[in-house]
Amino acid sequence: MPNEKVAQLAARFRDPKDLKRQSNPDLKEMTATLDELRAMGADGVTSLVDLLKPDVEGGDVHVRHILHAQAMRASGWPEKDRQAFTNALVGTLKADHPKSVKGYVIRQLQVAGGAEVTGALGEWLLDNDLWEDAAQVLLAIGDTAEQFLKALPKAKGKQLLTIVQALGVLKVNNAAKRLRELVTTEDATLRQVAAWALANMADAGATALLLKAADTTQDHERTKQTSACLQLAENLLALGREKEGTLIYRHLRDTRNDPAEAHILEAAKRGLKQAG
Amino acid sequence: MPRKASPLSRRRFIKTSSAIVTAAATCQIVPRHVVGGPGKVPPSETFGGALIGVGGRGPGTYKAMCRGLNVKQLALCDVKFLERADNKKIYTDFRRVLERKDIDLVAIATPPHWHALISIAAAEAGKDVLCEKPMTRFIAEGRAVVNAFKRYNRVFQIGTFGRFGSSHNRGNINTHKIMRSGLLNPCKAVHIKAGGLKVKQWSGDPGLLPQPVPKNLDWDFYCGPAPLKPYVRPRTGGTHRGYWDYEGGGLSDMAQHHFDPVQWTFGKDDTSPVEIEAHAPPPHPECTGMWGWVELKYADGLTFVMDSREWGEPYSRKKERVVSLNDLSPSDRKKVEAMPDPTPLLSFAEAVKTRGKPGGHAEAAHRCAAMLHLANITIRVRRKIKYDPVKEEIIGDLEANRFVNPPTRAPWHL
Repeated sequence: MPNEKVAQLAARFRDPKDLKRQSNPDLKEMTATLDELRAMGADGVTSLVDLLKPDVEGGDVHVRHILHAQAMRASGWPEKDRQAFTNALVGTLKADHPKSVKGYVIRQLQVAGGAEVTGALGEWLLDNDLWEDAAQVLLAIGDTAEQFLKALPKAKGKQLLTIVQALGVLKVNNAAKRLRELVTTEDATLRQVAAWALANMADAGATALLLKAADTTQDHERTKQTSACLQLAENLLALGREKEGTLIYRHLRDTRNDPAEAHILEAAKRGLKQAG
Repeated sequence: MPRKASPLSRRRFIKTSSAIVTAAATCQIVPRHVVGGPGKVPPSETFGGALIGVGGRGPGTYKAMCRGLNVKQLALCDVKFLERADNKKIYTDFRRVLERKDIDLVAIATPPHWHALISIAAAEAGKDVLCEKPMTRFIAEGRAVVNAFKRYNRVFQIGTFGRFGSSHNRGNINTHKIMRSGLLNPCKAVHIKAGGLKVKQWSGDPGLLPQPVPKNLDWDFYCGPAPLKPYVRPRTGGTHRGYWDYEGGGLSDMAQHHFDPVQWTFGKDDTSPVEIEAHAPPPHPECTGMWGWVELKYADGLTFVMDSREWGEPYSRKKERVVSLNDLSPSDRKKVEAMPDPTPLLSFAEAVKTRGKPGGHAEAAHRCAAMLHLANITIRVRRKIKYDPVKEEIIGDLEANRFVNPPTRAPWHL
């Protein structure tokens, strides 16, 4: 009866009266409890997830705590043990748990997950409730371009925004063509994130597009698009592409004449000076 | 040579002077950027100021920003102003504030998960910033802030000022000179801060059921780059300190106060500890909780200790030890004694006026914030970590390293 045993372990993980201020956790007791849970293997993990309750229901604070504490410990285990833990955890996403429970499980993979769970997590990138959790875990694990590229064609709205940002973080140059299209989309927020993503991946092909966006937009968007241009210039220079980087600086130097943009003009001049 | 009569017609004069009067009536502040460029002393010494994040430390942070400057407050911004925002003086969206050309100075006193992004946006918009401590929520944010203020040559000052007093103390100056000389290696100094880290006070309340979002609060905007969690009141209004999503407990809240002056004294404004070890129970996923002590060791051997005195046995691995000239050989002592005293630290006001670097500049603030973030990472993973202060990465521990630069929620990014 793993469920009963795990419920007992969770219940003794912390004295309920101490929950509010966590005033006196007993390290020895907690460590022994975690060791017992570990000895139960995958059954212990799935049974623990069975005990999780939806956010609106509550009453599972011990269960959440012990699962997280174990995930933290698992992140330092030998690779085989860590993977056994995370595979058991990711396997529970196939079960019929409430979305908020699955979200909690996914977030624990941000602590302990590795390449072994990325394929399964990628399936949640287009889920209306869990896309952000899945994206954040995949970004934390890293080397997960494949999952984001796979989701990109079907993504819309906030999911698209999240995926575009992720592609920028991961510097996925394979996505540049689609991201360039999005720099001129009607959604101002998406335009800015797409421009930043292209700048972050040092996409020289986006230079004219980004400069145009910086020149033709107003207010905060102009500031962010200009920032993307400067970032692109810095990244290109870092790659030894002086000609393309200085082109951006020259453009900004020659066009930013409003006193309110004096700091942009100066930044462009400094960039040119540094580029030699 | 006789002067030519002005071609200005009466009609044109009236039109021009009317425009000036109208402009003066509608905006009494001449923005600094209109009248003074880099290296020029502006004829108008009045600055347009904004406060972003008005609760808690907001008024104090704003006051600190204005010290020594003539500032007219032009904007107040807070995500809890949904029902009273007029987008003229009262705002909910900091981006609208930063668009204003008449605002030169921005005080930031939001919860820390917003500090870096708003600071960077302010620098991009050409503003100078005084930002409440802790500077950041995670390490990579600090580096991004440093880079942004360098790129735009803006002034950043952290909202803790103990180092200004410390840097006038003769003993501290001597320690600073010894440490900066590089002649003391290995350094056996140990600085212990025992208590005063408000561990219980700023531990969160786990297991609360979701509550209705108040009508005046933009909850999605409040969460911003942090995960969008169900609303519970303690996640806002000061008690946010007890949630990992927004801060890092009393350690984050207080350690920048306690260690920022010490970091200056020991000459560590440009580096970070390389080995960090903690004694703490297993952490809660959402709420900050109890911990015993954290030991942070620099490459030269200098050790800082945070001893909570609120859980477990008090720290006893090392004893407090100061640095003195007697630690050096006679010849090295002479070299240190011949060193000039460090340049006095510039206040925020002096830095704004001279375009210099203030005492609590971005790099120093980032290094201090990184110290407390490393402490919290070690508390959370509960194993000794090694840190590369140049690459700003945890060495040989991929999972622990995920806390250095955790993903943010779109569209918010560094």
